[in-house]
Amino acid sequence: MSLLEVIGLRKNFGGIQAVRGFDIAIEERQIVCLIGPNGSGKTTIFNLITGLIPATAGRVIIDGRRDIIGRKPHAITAMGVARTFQNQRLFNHMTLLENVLVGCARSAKAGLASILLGLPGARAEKLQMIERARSLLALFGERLLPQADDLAGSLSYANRRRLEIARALATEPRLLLLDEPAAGMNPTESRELMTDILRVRDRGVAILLIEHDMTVVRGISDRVVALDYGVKIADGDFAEIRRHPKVIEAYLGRGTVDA
Amino acid sequence: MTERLTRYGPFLLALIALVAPLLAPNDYVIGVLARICLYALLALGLNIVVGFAGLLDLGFVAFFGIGSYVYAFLASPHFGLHLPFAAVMLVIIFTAAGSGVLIGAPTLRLRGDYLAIVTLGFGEITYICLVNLDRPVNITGGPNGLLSIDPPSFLGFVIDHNIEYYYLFLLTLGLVVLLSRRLRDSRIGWAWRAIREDEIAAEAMGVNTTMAKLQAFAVGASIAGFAGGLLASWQRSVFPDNFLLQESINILAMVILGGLGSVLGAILGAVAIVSLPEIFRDFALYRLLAFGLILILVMILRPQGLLAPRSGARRSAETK
Ligand SMILES: Nc1ncnc2c1ncn2[C@@H]1O[C@H](COP(=O)(O)OP(=O)(O)OP(=O)(O)O)[C@@H](O)[C@H]1O
Ligand SMILES: [Mg+2]
Repeated sequence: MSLLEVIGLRKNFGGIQAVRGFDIAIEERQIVCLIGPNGSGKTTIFNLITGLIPATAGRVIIDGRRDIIGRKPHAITAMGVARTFQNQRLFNHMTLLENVLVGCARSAKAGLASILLGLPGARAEKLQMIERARSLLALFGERLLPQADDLAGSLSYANRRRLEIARALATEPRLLLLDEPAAGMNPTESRELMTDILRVRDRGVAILLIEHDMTVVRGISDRVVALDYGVKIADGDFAEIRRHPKVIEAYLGRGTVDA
Repeated sequence: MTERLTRYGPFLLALIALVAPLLAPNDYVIGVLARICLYALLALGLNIVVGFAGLLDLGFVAFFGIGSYVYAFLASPHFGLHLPFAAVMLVIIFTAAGSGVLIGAPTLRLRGDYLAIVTLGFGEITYICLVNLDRPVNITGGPNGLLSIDPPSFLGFVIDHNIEYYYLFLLTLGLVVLLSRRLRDSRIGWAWRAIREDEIAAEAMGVNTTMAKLQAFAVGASIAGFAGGLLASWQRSVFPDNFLLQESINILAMVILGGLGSVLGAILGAVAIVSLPEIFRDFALYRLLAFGLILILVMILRPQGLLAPRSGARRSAETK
């Protein structure tokens, strides 16, 4: 039984068919890369899976039984799917720690009354959350933790990407969707990111990531899925995908698969 | 310098607030001080809705009005009810919270400007109801309002001097400051601020935005309602004209002037906006002009408000 199963997913924006019957299955602890030329529908698939936009048709099933189509984003997050955004959507006027705390709070129980009254239960829960948020920042070594109390808006580009990952992990996902995490990173930073992603997987999280940097794709993916015009054109390991005629055709003239 | 200000500022302010009425030259000034506290309460209430959660509410004064009238209904000869002060205030908290949810619910999907327009409408509707609900059955007393309202009393001790009201309001203000800060640094506060920053990202991080927004409306409204109850008990009468749009704007100005999302800022905003027109009273006609100019100047010089919300630089040390 797959962790995530997407069946016949479709999305039309008016006349544009952004996703045209997409299928994928992801197993526990797998790292799957989603590649495809610009505008091929990769981000749209993420938006559909996380419930940010409604699907035109199709099913998205978690654990082989729960269809998440039609559910609200926060309910989907509660089922163990978290994500980062291609255009970075951090809470800029909140501290790094607070950004992560927003995710940690998902499973918090303290009600309005116990918070207002400052009951011991609410306090203890908050301390636990802060502890957990710090340990998530610590996943990135000295990159984030020393700046825990700075505003997220003050972070460097690469650190912003790292914080997005830490924040998503705070919701305790079993599947993490990363939308171009290496975009804008230099080769050293990309390499570091790869080990970070592998470490996240070792915590028991499956990862579906969109990536243009073929070094990264080759370096970490168990499987690669290629997309063109909203349709899956290939699915296999990196070596197969790289030689796949349809993939080569999709990228010809629009950029090349070189790695 | 600013660090010291944020650390010792609140204590200094509290100290000033405690001795201020003792140094006041006359009862009128004590009345102004009491009014500052009342408006600071309103500003703190609105700060939760606009400052924390980022929901622009232009009809906030409606809850102030609802609180006042509920007080008048339950503690005046109008309906012949004279419930104890504490009981009335308790009823007000829940009625106002309920009306906050009622008014909030239909606006959940609206953002920014649209939300502002709809809440503006709610504020006006509340005003019109207060003016017109004297016929066919006299509920609100119409434009003449409701009179002979009971003063607050605790175990037989009746409050009837400005200075006593002042300390009652100040005590409430202190409590609401404490509650505001607790909320700000709680899972609910984080959710509110996340929504203000980026609603879509907040949802994706598991924030139930519907719930969080309704909580913001409810908490903000109950603070305003409470302030309304205090107003009714102090004026011993209530009139629809206490709750005009102008008041909503004034309260919003306090929050913005102080720095959206800053608890201490909201209070400073209230101090400035209530006291400046009093200070310029001698200038008669130029009073409002001077007031307007000062507001414009502050906003040009400090667009983020007098006190931008603390960056949280020391907040986590506090919460550890
Ligand atoms: N909200 C929207 N409304 C209308 N059209 C949209 C919307 N979102 C995406 N599209 C269109 O759907 C198609 C797929 O877009 P999508 O963002 O999913 O591509 P992508 O594969 O993520 O591309 P990139 O590599 O540039 O990020 C594009 O043609 C895009 O213009
Ligand atoms: Mg994209």
